[in-house]
Amino acid sequence: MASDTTIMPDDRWRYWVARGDYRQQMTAELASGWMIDGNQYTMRRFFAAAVAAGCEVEYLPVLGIADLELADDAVISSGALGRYPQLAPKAILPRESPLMTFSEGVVAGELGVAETGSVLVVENELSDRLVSMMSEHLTVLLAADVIEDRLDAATAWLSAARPVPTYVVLLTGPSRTADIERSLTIGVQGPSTTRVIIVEEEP
Amino acid sequence: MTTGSRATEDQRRQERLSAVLLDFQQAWRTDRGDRIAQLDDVGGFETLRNGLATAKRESRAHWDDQIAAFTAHAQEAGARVVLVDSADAANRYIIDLCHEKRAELVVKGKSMATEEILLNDALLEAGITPLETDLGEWLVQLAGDRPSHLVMPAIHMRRQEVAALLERVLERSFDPDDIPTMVRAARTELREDFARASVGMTGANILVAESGTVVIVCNEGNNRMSVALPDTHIVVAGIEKMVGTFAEAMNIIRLLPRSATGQVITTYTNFITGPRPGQEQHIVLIDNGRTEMNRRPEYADALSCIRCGACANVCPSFQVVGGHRFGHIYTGPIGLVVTPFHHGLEAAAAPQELCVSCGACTAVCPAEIPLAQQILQLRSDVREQLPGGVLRRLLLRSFGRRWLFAAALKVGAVLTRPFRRGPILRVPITTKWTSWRSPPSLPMLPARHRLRTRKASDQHLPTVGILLQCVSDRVAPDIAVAAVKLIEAAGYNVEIPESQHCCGLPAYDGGEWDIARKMARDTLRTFERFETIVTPAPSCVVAMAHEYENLFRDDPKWLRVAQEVGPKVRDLVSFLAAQTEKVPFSVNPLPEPVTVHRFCQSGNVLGHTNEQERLLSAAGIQVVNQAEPDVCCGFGGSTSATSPGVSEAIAARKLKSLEAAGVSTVVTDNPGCVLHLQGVFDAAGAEMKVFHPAEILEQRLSDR
Ligand code: SF4
Repeated sequence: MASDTTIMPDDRWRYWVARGDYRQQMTAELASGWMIDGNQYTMRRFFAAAVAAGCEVEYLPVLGIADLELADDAVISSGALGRYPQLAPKAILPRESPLMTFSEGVVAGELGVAETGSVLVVENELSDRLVSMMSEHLTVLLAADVIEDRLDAATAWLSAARPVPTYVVLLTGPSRTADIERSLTIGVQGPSTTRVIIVEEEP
Repeated sequence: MTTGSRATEDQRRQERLSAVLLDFQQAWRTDRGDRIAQLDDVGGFETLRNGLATAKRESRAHWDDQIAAFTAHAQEAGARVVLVDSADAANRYIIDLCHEKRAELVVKGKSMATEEILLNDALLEAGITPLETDLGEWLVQLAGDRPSHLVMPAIHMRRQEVAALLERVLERSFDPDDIPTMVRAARTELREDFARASVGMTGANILVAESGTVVIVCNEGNNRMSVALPDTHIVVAGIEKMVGTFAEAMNIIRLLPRSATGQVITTYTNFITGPRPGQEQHIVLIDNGRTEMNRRPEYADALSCIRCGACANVCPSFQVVGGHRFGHIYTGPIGLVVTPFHHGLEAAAAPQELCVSCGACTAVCPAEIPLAQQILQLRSDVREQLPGGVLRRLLLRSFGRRWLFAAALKVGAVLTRPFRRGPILRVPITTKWTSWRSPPSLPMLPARHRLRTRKASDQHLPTVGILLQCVSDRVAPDIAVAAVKLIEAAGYNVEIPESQHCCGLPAYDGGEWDIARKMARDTLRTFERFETIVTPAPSCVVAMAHEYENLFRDDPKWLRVAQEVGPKVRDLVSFLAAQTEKVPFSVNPLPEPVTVHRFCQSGNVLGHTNEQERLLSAAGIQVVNQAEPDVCCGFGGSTSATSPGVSEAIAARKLKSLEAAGVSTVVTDNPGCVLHLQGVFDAAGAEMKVFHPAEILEQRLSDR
């Protein structure tokens, strides 16, 4: 165990993440056992869990459309558009054809769960589901202030929602299978990469 | 192909499969262990699984109400819910619906419930094509095969077979070593079918009554497409999937992926409440024997199952034979238990013989289902309701009579005397029972006779009644004699009641419960008067403290006696391990280290952990760990008699694990396992000595 690792407070750590150096720092911190300290590091637990589930995780203090480096034909869910109007010039809503395959899609989460690295996404309409199902590369936008420590937060969210939305998914990493000789293969029916972008600003 | 070469080909397939399953079981055990340990943060595995079992039990207590609440809420959300009582009724409803929708193709997510009701066959007969879209299920379907595991349906297929299969179906060649390309091909192929199908069908992992929500977990994403894309979505689910609240559902979500694939959570955990705009949703709730199962208290808990497959992943027999033999449609230990209710008792008769009763399934089950006990209950049902087994009954009945057993062993000892080689009998004939396990030599004097001449101990000391155990009394008397000496050395007055024989476990494990009950009553009568009862055989503790209650479930008088006596029985190792300071062990350390094998039920049923190790180190003996300490040695239950080949393979796995420890002495706490392992090592020509801890520890007493 690297006992000399400094465990930085969340705000300084956000700076590191914003600079893109979080992996090294996080690996060192993980090795030093900071997770044991419980939930005062919720956001970092989220990072660790999401990375373990195969996500790319990024942090943006402010969401600018350029930061996303989206392809021109990227499709964007109505949920993402509703929450982040700055995506509007980019917005291409998918046509409802299941044969469509999109190179890139963007959805927005209602809740992040640090325990599992999952993002809770509501997808009532078929067009919204197509974005997260049919995109080769998926970007999930998640506001920093809705990241909670435990799955119980998802329970509370579901219990409080009345009526319960038609379709809620806890999304964790890219689509995967191990059905052929238990060999882990990423990208079966769903996306082959999943990138979670934590956005600090209030939209 | 001649029958001979087919037999060898089958055998080769079987061996390959066992090798794959062995790798899988070992990898899974590590992954699952790590993920389960994380649960300490949220209350711990035991608390969570107890919560799951309680929630499911609660649900079953108010099943009708919960089904009604679920139905009302789902219908409010726009779904149509039907409750059907049989497989036929379910199939008919689904086929009619498909006809109404003019569906020619149905895309399916993975669903055991549809396997249970043989829906695919029924659809095909009705001219509708069911298409499995889970990769493993798809491959199995293309191959015209059956799934062999609840979670990993195609685990029996090798990559070469998959490549050849895809080549045949898709008419282009595939490199067996390029799995991503094969997976990609499935994706491309299935996309068009998803676009074409007017009906999508899925199972459900959980049904939430408070909201009418269907929860489906998956990794691939195919379930999501089956739910979302077609204009009609049909859910097929057993009514036992019901829980009351989202909180209860989340508890299952914490346990299911960890137990199934060793994942923290699956890629997608979907909460579906009603159809999407423009869609119809039908939820078919099937009973098909479940209400009947719920009426049988000895089986009802099996309805808590969340189909994680963990029980199969720790099952030593499953590893040897795979899911096609170990189960019917539902595979693994849980498959044995539920099969009679869905597919009839006959369907479970052959596979249930494969259970070694090691209890690993019970210990690992996230739904707290007493699987090992239920399988023995099933065995007893098979014995009672299906014909056959005259010879077995005759043998067990004779074994049940003390005098007859003693006389038979005496005659055996005299006759086999010329073949004795130390603890082993070198008989000149080989059978399928002895080719891989040499039989033990039979002693001229049982332990009880040898112990008559020992000097009387102080009557004022606390008294212990010793159950010598049939095996260590009459076949391996050194164990029983050493056990008595150790207990006396620890400061007890040991009484050896003459009327003792066998606790009845062999008959219980063999499913002959009438014979077991008689032996149990005799044993209880003999030991009732003692405050403390000790035995060198933890298997007898399992019988007396756990199984007797089961045997006398319907006999209040003997149930009471069993409940009184049960808690007073201790196995020698844990009895001494709790008071090592009282045993006068020699202080000189023993130079030669040993490795320890723990009798499977000592861990899985009695909850023992390191008692042997502690005791041995108190006596200055160094212990080296073996690779798979928790896996059964293959002796367990009646399997080594009924399916010697399976037992042999399990023993071979154990042998490897023990040899890898690199020492020449094995210590193990159950006399049956001592004899079994001794025979296995001898037949394999391995230079390993096997002892019961009593034998080693007695040598370490300072005042010998
Ligand atoms: S019986 Fe238990 S271990 Fe086996 S599949 Fe069901 S829940 Fe899992």
